[in-house]
Amino acid sequence: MGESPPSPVHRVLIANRGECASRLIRAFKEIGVETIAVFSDADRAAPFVKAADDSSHLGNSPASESYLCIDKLISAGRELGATAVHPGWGFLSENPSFAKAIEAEGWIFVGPTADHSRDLGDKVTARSLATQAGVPCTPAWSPPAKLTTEAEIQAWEEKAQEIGFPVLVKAVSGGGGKGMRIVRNAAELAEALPAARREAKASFNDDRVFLEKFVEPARHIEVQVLGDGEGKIAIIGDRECSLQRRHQKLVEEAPAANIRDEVRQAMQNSARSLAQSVKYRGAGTVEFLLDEAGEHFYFLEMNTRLQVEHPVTEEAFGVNMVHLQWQVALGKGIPEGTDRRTPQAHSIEIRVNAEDPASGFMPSTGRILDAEWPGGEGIRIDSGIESGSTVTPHYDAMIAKIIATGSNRAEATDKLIRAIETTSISPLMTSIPLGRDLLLSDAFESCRFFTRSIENEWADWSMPQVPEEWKGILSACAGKVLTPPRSGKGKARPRGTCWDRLEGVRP
Amino acid sequence: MSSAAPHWEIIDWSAPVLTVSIDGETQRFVLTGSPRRPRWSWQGAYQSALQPGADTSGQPVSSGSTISPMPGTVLEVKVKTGDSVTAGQTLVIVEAMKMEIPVKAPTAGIISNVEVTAGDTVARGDHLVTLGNEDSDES
Repeated sequence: MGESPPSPVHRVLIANRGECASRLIRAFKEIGVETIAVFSDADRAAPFVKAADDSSHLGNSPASESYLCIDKLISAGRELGATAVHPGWGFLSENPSFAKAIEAEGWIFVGPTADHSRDLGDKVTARSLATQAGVPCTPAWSPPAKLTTEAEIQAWEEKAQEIGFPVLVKAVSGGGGKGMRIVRNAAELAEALPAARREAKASFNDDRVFLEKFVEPARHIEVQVLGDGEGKIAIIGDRECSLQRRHQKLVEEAPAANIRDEVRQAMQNSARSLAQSVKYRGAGTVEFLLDEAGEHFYFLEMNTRLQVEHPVTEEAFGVNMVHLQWQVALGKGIPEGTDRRTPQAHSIEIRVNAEDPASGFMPSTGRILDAEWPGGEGIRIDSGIESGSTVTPHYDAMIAKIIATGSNRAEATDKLIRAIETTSISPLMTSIPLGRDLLLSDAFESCRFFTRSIENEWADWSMPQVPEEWKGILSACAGKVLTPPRSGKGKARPRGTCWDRLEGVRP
Repeated sequence: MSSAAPHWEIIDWSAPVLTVSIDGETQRFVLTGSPRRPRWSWQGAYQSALQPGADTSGQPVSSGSTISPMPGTVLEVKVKTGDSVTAGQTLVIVEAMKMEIPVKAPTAGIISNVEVTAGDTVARGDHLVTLGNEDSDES
């Protein structure tokens, strides 16, 4: 470093897809680092592929034949001259074998060491590390070996009784609520166990599961950490992520509101001591459950990666998490002023999932005719789709995120509601109309919501439908403001052909 | 709520956002498509049924049927022809977007045909299992 050799030109392979890949590519572009996209059959025409400097086809659409294939990712990187890999979230982001394989190539892995992702990604080991670091944990039990026989199911039942229902059956390598089941009585255990295992196997290629006490009602609060790998840790505030469906976050905000200062401090100190105890490297999130009274918190897990909801931290605290990750990955350490930042604003995010919140969040797939996003000050859109994109059943339902930032919580809330009202993802169903109603609720305004609130209190929610008597008005408005398709052949076209359905689609 | 035709007025059109005052209340819509086949979103939700012949691919299928509720892969078939099942019993598990969705029997009955096997790719609305009536079971 002394006589300033030309800094190496980096090419980062983005081992991810969709919204995640788009966001990472944008962040690397901002600092002049080249990117390589990798894609499956289904993602051939995806915006993230076009956005990258270079791209490589991985294989068939199922993730197990594309985004989860370490060997295919390595050959793509070799072929296109990768010098670094960013794993994003999901897929291989917390897979220690992947981190190891990348470092074996002599490439930079933009993430924690393989040891960190192994130990902290394994929820059982993570719990014991947390306990050693003085972080409060809930009661839990891990089976000694894989359970298949009836006798072993019985062992699960006994332990569940001992810990006390309700309990969680949870994937040891899990995340994002996948491979996790709430079990309220012994009878539910027999079905939950194999289901959690199958889902864990499909999502994380590891079917080990364990048992944990389920705290209910609880809020989900998490602390953003960044480590330099040598024991220096920065805490970049916290986030509230209690509004969840199927244990997956739907609405997130930073900083967490309505928390007593001492509790917030204690939580951040816990996160710091866990990260410090392992000399954590890179961005990570320590997740906690906070009880109803807001007094006691318990370690949930540590995610050794960038989180989906990192934009709210970026907007509220004025940082760029991807740039910080890159700094640390290059060995340049944590920039001055990163630790203990005070929030400059309040930021709230809604995940745009292609699903129907009125029918059990059933996936809604197909071709998107219009992707219309709001603009304006304080509105940020992180999207993986565009008009004409096809949402397939192969991957996670999240297609984009809308992030609204204001000088306080009420202002951010109003901006996000308005942003939702001026968004259109036709003809798919998405999570945002539910998000709008959540944001408008008294419970949201007064911060009285918990991880199960959507399931418990919003199960009867239905999609907004314009009143019948407005339909004539809307047709009249459409006639006034919309322009007919430019081609004169429009009128001569026979009705009901496939061309009718394409009308109005922009290239 | 009044039975008279609502009074309305366009306040603003900044494509694709249309602001209309309807009976004194301001409503915001996202409007795309053509005059003959407009597409609307309201409160963040696509409004599929404004025009006759509009795309209804987003309409939910009725729950409790033995057809696939979504496109995906059949993960497990839990019954075979001739099995007698109770209402609510899981017949088939379909996986999409990494979520497992159990398809349950809408009523009690006897399985008269199983149309899929594990690993099959299914479209939304595909038949999975045919359920015959079981006259003796009235619960």
